[in-house]
Amino acid sequence: MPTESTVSANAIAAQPPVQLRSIGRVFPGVRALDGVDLQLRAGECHGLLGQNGAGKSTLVKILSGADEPDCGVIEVDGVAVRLSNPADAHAAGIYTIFQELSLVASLTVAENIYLSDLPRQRGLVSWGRMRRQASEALRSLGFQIDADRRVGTLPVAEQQAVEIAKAVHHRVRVLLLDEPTATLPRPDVSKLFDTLRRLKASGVAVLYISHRMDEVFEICDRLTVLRDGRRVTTRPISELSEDDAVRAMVGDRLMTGLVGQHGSGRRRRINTGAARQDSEPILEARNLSDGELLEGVSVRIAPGEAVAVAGLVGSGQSQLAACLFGSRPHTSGEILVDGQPLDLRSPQDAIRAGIGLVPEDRKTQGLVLDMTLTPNISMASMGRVARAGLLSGRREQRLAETMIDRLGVYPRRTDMKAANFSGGNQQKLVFAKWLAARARLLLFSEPTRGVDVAAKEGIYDAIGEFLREGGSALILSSEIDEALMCDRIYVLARGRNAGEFNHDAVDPDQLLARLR
Amino acid sequence: MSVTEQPQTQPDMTPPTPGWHHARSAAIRLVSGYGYVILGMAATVIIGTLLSPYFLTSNNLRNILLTASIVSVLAVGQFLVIVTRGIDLSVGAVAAMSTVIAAALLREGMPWGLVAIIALASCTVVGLANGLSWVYAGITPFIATLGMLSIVQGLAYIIQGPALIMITNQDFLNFFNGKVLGVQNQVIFFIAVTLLFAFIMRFTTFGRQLYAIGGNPEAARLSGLPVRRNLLAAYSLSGLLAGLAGLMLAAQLTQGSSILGAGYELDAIAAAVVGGASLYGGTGNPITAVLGGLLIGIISNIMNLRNIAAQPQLIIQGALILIAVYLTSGGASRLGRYVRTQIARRRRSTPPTPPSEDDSSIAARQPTA
Repeated sequence: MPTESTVSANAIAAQPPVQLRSIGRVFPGVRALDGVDLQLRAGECHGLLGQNGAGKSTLVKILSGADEPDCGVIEVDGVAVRLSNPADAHAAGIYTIFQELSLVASLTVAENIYLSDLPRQRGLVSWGRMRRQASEALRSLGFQIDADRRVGTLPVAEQQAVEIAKAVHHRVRVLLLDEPTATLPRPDVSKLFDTLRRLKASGVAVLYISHRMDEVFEICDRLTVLRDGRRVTTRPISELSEDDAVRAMVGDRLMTGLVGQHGSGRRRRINTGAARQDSEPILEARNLSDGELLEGVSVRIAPGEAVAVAGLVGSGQSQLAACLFGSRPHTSGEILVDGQPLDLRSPQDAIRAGIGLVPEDRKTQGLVLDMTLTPNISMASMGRVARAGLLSGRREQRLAETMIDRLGVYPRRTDMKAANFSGGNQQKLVFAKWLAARARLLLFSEPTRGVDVAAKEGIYDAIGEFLREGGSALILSSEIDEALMCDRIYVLARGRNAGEFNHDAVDPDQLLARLR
Repeated sequence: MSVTEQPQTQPDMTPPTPGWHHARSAAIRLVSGYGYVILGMAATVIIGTLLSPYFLTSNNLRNILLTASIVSVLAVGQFLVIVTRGIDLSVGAVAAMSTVIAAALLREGMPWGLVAIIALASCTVVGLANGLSWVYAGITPFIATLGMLSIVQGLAYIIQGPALIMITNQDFLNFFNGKVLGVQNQVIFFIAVTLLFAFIMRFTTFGRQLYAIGGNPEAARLSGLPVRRNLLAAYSLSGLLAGLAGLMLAAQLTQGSSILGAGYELDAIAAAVVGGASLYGGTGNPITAVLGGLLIGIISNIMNLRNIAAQPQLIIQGALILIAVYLTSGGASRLGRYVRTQIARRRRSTPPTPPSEDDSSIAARQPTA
């Protein structure tokens, strides 16, 4: 095998810290992992790619001790082990940084790092030593963080650093990172990568899971692609192009449709219809402030138009969406619907005006996961399926079926719990809820966050369809590519308007420069 | 890697086999709906019949229903609150207040119909106050209704005065504790209340909204549901039903007393929870809540018939509640999965090596075949 020669002789001589052999895991109705092999080597960053449902998270759960495989062997230093709980994984030197960080927000940085073994002197915690050690540990990772600050007050990037420092303190040998950059602004991403390089240099094996191709290619040495629970390929990054990786992820069948939009000439547009720019805007916000982050933000959406509000994560997009939907009070400024001022105090007011919100987090904000598909779809339009407060099962069922067909929800099952649909299909359910409520304007907050490439396409198509049928869309996003697909793009930076571009006249460099 | 892709398959979902899935979901519906309570009842009835010849007599069954009727009415009210992720600890005290209001006003010679309306209205106001402290003052229901329990108890003492008040109004007693065509009115009340609220929860927008609020309050709010109004209504109804239970209790005992109803709130919560309502909200229904109460009632009836002393009865009852809740809150499926994997593991590992489960930290898992 010529590829192995790139790895240092030292690494080959030693046992790989973690080796998975034909791991399998079956959930009711789904073969989540099917004979997966994976080798993590000391001092190497290993990328794990795959669409939603490819088996990445199951694999992470198994490695972190949160779940056990039905078959196969996990070897640590060449010895087969069982990781039946996180403590077992920690004992083996395997630490996981989840998207949802597992820190105690109300404790300080130092306390979090040394939570399980506070440094003591004569039975008392020696706070001074702990503080010094914590600052030192963070500095060696490239971070200057006050060890006395409460973790809850830190930005996400620094919280991540605290969690990594905690793992290092416990002599981490294998570090798993599950979508660590999903909520990080770009400058913080490069800082994280510096940290990871330091860890690699000290011999830690890193498993890096991400949707973002460019990041994987920037930081990883080898790459494994999963599809439908199977390992498609494992190769050194130098032997693989981004196109190859995408092809491996989606399978050849889907490639033709997806690659067209990348790189080639004209940028794609979500809206294939024509916006009625000259008519009264369907929604206009003037000088909106929320007393916290937003300051004097103005946006305007014409009927039939797709407008983006782009900005780095945390620039105020979700706050703006909430203000425009009435779920967050604004302290000053005014909101006009169809040119008429609207006293927007609650989501009910917004819904009455024909506005719907497809929130950032569909699981906690969009759906009642324990309910089946049908009541989730009729949730915002109960008046339409009820007479005098009595629900009509037949009418409700028909509404649900219409929406399933219109959006291509899969599987076509109205009696399945919302929790059991995949991420992309859950997003469609939230969308369907607003179509059912006959919303004219939809506010999309990070509409494609955490969904895979193919589901993304499905969502863009659905938005396009909605626009063609006369709807309007405001897309609040931190994915700049996504924003560039809209008719007009507002740039939001630190809660303020920082620019406005038309689709055809946008200069990406200029736009990027306005982000900060 | 040579899997031929089906054109219909979306890449992010592995399609389950339809037949198997349907059988499974039917089974789940049976277990998560009425199924397991009915199974539990059936088992208990069989055991009761075996243990006592007197158990299946119509007299005894009527007795069970009559004893269960007051707690059942309370359980329905409690369910309405629990389904929204709340709890109402004040219902026992509210029922007591209802008995003394009724007794005191009847003593003054007020017509019994008006008395009943006044008692029910006051109890509804107490429920509304519970709702207001949660919705507008942000006091968690547990604390809000705990405080209310004490307040209402005090009120009941004051209304009652120095001693309990006997009720002599025959019309009142006939209405709340008489018989129609040989059936106890109390039994009719509790069945009517149960069916009415089962209907409301299943077929009205109000019921649907309560489930949604309990299932995900944020999603409910962002879907424009009147969350606050519905919560106020749920707590008010809990108060109203506690008032009704109080009137039934007063008629049964022909007295109004501030010490009645103590501990009823816990019986009502136990009934709802044994009936499958999760304290995390969004699940269960009024019928299973009442069946849960009946199940507890039948078990204590059997123990009475077997002359088991009151003290061990308490212990057995508590243990049964814990077991029932463990089974209904997903314990049954966890147990099932555990048994299945144990069987599978044994089957897999018998030919080559015996299972080496005893080595806790490094137990090697043999690869298949």
